[in-house]
Amino acid sequence: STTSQKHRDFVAEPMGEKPVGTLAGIGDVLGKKLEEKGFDKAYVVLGQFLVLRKDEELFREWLKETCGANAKQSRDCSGCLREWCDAFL
Amino acid sequence: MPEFLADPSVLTKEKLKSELIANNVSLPGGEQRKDVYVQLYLQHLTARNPPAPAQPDFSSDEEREQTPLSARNRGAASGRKATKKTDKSRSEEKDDLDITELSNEDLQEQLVKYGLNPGPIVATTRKLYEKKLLKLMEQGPDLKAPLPLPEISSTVENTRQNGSNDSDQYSDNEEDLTTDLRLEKREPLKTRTKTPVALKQRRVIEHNQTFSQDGVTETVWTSGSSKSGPLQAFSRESTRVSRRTPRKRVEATAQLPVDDAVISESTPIAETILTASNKTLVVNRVPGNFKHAAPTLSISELSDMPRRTPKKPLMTAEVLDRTTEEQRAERDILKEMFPYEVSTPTGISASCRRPIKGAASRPPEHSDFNMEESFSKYLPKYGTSTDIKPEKPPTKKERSIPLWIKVFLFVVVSVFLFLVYQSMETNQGNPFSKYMNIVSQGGTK
Repeated sequence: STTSQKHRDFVAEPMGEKPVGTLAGIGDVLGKKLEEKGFDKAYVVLGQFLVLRKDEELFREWLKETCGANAKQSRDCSGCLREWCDAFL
Repeated sequence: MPEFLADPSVLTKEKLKSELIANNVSLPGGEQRKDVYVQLYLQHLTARNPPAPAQPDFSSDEEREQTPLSARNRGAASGRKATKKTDKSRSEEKDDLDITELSNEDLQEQLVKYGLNPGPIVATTRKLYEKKLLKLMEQGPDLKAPLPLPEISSTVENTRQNGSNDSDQYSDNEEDLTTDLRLEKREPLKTRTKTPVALKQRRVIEHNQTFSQDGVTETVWTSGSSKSGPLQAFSRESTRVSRRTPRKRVEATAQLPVDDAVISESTPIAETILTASNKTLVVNRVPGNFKHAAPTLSISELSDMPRRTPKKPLMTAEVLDRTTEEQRAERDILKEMFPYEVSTPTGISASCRRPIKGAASRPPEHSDFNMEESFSKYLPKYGTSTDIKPEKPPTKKERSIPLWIKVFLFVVVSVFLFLVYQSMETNQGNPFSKYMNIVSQGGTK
């Protein structure tokens, strides 16, 4: 399969209070940057995703602007969130 | 510090705020965009800068308008990675509206005019939507109503893997057409559970039917050809979509200027719209088969967002239904084309393999012999090269080709050995007679 273990772990259950570093594509560095901006929990990033009407493209752009994620990282993150939404929202 | 920066965007928002506060500038309530603070900074602090450029009233307005632009440009370029395209796009002339001055509602209106369906324009989303509007405006102020064009800069990155390689730019209509036709010829009736093949098949139906009948097809073809571009792009997209990670969307596809009521929906549903409209095209041609299929499918597709992994089985079931319908239509056409082929669901016809007489406990019976069969059976025994007939009917092309080669090579080798044997001289007598003579001579001496 082409999804990472992190992705699968995240999508497997409701995110609850998981930190932002548990999102696929978001590692230590990006996680720290996001936390600095106030996105300290995964659900806050989810909030941003939802406010953008689950538009993956816009979300990726936002992610790039906010924490400097590259194309792959942002793709992983948006895909992860989208699948989570499909499963639980 | 008496010296104030001319380009405050190099500072972080916090620094800006603190500088403003330190200089007794009143901050707007709540969290604002950095630009707001930048502007304030420029307004109040840079102006106080001793060597600051002369700022008569009219030019200060210009500067204020320009510097946030350029500041944003520079900030965007310096801070992040590949935003150079957006820099260029922004530094180009904006039309009459200054996008930063638009209120949230106005910004939303403008985006809606371009056919977008933006989410709430909030602090965090505003910048994104401003950028998007800029891009749209530059791509054509006249293209407002039907065609929101794809964002080239971001979409080009977002190919591959999770994005699933969609949203390439949609050129190469002809190539896709030919490849599709080729695909169809090779596997005429194979069902695949992927939407794109279904689409391709449908398109080929259109093509085939245009070839057969000229009259009505004009309209269909022209509309088909106008759609063929985005359709192929879409199918190409969705191939990759369905290939593994079914992400990435079609918000990038160009919307078609077809007057379906459905198309007024948002771009994420463009996929389903395309398929629905495609189906309506085919409905013209094959009314019986498709009419009941089309509405159910369009409804189900509209309600269901394809490319979700949990909903994939649903999709495949629907596709199967669709493809079985199509096969019926296709079979009519293909019957014309290939009247002698056996008609089967998969197009593969295999006849029963005849038991090999003379092999494993099957005694040969002379009554059953054909001339052709005897050759093939005697071949391995005698090794004489005669007409080689296939043991199995030639439909299983995959295996018979290497089998041919094997048999042929075997025959060649055996013939060679036989000839070698024959060409050997027959020596009479004892090969060791020479030595015996020598020994006997030696003995007698």
